[in-house]
Amino acid sequence: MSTLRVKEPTADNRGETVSIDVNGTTVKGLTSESISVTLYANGIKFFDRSKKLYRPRGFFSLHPQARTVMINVNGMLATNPSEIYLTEGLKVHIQQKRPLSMHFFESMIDTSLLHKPIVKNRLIWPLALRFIANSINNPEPAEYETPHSIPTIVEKADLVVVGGGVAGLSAAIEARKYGLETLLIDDVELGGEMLCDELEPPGMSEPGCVFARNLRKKALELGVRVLSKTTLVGFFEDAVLAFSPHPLGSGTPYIISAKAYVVATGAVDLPCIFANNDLPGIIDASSALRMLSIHGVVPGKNVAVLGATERGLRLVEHLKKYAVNTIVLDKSKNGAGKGDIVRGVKEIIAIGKDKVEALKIKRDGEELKLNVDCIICAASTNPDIKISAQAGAKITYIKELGFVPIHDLFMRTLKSNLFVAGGASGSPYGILHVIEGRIAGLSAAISLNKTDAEAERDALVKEYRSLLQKFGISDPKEKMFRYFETKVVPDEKITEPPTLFCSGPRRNAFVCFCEDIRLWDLYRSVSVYGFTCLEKVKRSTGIGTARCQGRLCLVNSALYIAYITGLSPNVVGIARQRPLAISIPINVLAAMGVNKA
Amino acid sequence: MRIAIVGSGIMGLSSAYNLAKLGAKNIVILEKEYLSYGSTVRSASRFRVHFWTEENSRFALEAKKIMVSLSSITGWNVLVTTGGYLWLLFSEEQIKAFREKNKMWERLGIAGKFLSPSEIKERYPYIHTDDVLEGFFGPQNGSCFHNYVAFGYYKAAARLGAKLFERSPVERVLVENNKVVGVELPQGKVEADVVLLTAGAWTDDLLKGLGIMLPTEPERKEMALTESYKYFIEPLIIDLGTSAYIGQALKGEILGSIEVPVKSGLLPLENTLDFLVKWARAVYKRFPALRGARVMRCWSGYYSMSADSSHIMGRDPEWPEGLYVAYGDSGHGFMMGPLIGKLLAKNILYGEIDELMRPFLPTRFKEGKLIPEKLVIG
Repeated sequence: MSTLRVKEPTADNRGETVSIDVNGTTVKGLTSESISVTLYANGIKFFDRSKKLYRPRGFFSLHPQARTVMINVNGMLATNPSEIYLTEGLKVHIQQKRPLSMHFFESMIDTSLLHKPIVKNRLIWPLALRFIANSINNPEPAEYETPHSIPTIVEKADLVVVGGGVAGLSAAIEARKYGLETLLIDDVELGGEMLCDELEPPGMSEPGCVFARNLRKKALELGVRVLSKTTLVGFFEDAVLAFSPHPLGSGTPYIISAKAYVVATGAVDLPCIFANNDLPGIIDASSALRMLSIHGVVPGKNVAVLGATERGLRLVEHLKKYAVNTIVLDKSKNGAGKGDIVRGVKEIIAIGKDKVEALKIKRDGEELKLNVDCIICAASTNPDIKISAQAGAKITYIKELGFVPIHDLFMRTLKSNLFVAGGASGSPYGILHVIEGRIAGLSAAISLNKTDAEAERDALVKEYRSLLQKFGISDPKEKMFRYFETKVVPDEKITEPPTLFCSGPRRNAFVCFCEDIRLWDLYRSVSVYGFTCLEKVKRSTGIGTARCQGRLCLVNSALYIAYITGLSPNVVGIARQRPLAISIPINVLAAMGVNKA
Repeated sequence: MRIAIVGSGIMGLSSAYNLAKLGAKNIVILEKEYLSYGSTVRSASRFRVHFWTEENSRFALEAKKIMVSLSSITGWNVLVTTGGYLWLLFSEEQIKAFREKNKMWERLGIAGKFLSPSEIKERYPYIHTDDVLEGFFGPQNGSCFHNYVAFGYYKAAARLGAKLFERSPVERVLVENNKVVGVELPQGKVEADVVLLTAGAWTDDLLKGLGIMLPTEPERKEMALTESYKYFIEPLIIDLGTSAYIGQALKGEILGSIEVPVKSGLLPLENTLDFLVKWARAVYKRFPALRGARVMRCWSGYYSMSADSSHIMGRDPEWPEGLYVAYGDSGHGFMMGPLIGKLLAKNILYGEIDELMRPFLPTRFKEGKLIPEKLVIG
């Protein structure tokens, strides 16, 4: 089996080498890796079959909240492979065969059937429906006992920072300087994506990973308390809940109680939409970078990167260091960037049986075929608004920033004592994340009356403004600062969504990987039923209602609907964000004592 | 006749469809947010025929007939299944009461079946039955997909000429010379000869603006939903010990709720951890097989509770002419909605009061003819 490992992992805790069993074959990996990474490193990209159409699926993103694929581990079918770290002797089973009946009945479980009374016969329909329900590739609930009482830990702090990237770390450090009890909650690894950046980020004079490590060290030295591998699950009316999943089931719930919150949850790489974009081997830029820098695993030998964006081009530079053949595909006809860039791409078709093997590109009057083993989506990102929206921030769409919580120069949102910073506020560059984090931390200290250091804040804001100028995102940000004052929702028109590499509403271009919802389903909901608001499209197609809770699909859907209807994305809207951010087993919830703090 | 319907939930949409089908022109539906924003799309999407009172049971029986044929009527497949309702009984009083009621249900042709704990175990091995005394199974009851019911009605009404205006919050009903003349919106006025208030929990405020007081109030209810699992829970199971219930959608999500004491009123549509934990505890105890199921999402919506927990439809002759209501459904509006719309349409157009509808008129409160419905779930 070919291995994609190119170097020793740089994870601080490398862990030990252990063996796991995958469909009867022994595979070696490290205890610092999740199952996803180990399998990928060993060339296994196909983890499970999709829910309705039984298509082969691998992970799209390694982020624990992007739960688009489940895997059978130790007999438990509904396990998130990106959340479980290796232990000796784990047994992974991959269902490779497609049930024979599916070949005949594929059209029956097509979601379109649900819209049509094609079976009006009241005797046949219940049987057909039963068949459909039983044909869905759903797992059985995992069976395990946990100790009946799981301690619920109550964490009190002045300030809670959600997200441990450089924005979150900077906010925590700043708040700590002014004496705030600060708790930082991070779901992956303290340091965020900059920890994976081996090059110098724009505007910085040292490699991102060095900077992030130093920042992390400083935060810990200053006494910032940290809950790592923990996700902030939801802002409930009576409590704020966080959850730290344990391997295979259970986990630790935390009740969080704070006077102010800084949300620095970063941004989400949006999946690109093209034919067969659900094939295993199509991943997001952040996972590719993480695998490479932290785990020493290259995403492939011949890689196509979608989007000649800053993000995409930087990723290519990283890949080149490890002798990976890369090609960048971009929609625009012209633009900056050197190297192998194919421009003016109109349509992409991924080819492969159970993983990506090749790529067909259509552009003006020509068709190209490339042999690739990995496609990386780096065309566009959107702030992760799951937590900020739930906490009460108002969301608006601004073309250059995406769907973003409305905030002002002091990083305040329209909800009192809720601040945003970094990628979660729509800023693209690490250096901006740092200063935004600092402003947010200081603003929190000021609003909690811990300091009156407004002169310091004004100085920071001045520096921030000049950085925004320097990086050319002054206009959209200033526009938003004005919305904060006027509270009027802007009317933004969009052209073709940056993630769309598809000329028509194809039936094999997937928008939602959890529920097998295609571009075609969205198109029909809009054009046949006339629904133009995302809430209604969501209710007629089921988009955004499954395991990943709309993390990967809602923004793409909203932009696509806006594109085909010509409406402003603010009219289409983004669906309401509800708790929980990640799902929690019933046994954990049942064992919790609700201590309202 | 110009008809303004306030609210685009199942009540408003089925009324609009039936009015249009009977030939009414100039129907506008005014919705404050978007199509079916309120309680319809937040419902558990179940229907049942077993109610504590004969009036409600008869009504629900007719409503079910429409519900199961809705796919043919509206052209949207509403995914009807009849998995039944299973009530788990924990005390002799409960059993006695259900046996008593079953006589009435038998008379109506909807007798249920009493199941011993061992029979329950055999049919539904995932239920923990050690402390269950008996179960009552109503096989006539079932589920359908609420979104497609609403959208189907809307599309059918729209085909017949009814017009929907979204983001049009009605602020008050305009009355002149004891006759409704229209409704007022921030955008302007809509003139109408008939105003039908089907705004669910928000109806109270509109009625209050007219000085009409009916004994109703909104109550916030919360629901939770798990990730998708193999379809194995066919009935809706109600645990009368804890008042929790669960059911499974065809796509595989297990949804449910539990009664938690809350203040009435239009509380924000948020969720409490208190609810989630209580529901999880009830599920943990009753359904050991679901202990590893993962709760994915929760949401909340309003029950429009009336004093006797039965819906209110039609008008009081003392009200301004042309004013009708359909609300106060106390949690079973979704299942009654198809029939409410049908009967109300005849009432509005021809002044006809159907025998099924008569007990539910708003005049029942001052006449003291209440329909004390005790079988409210959730």
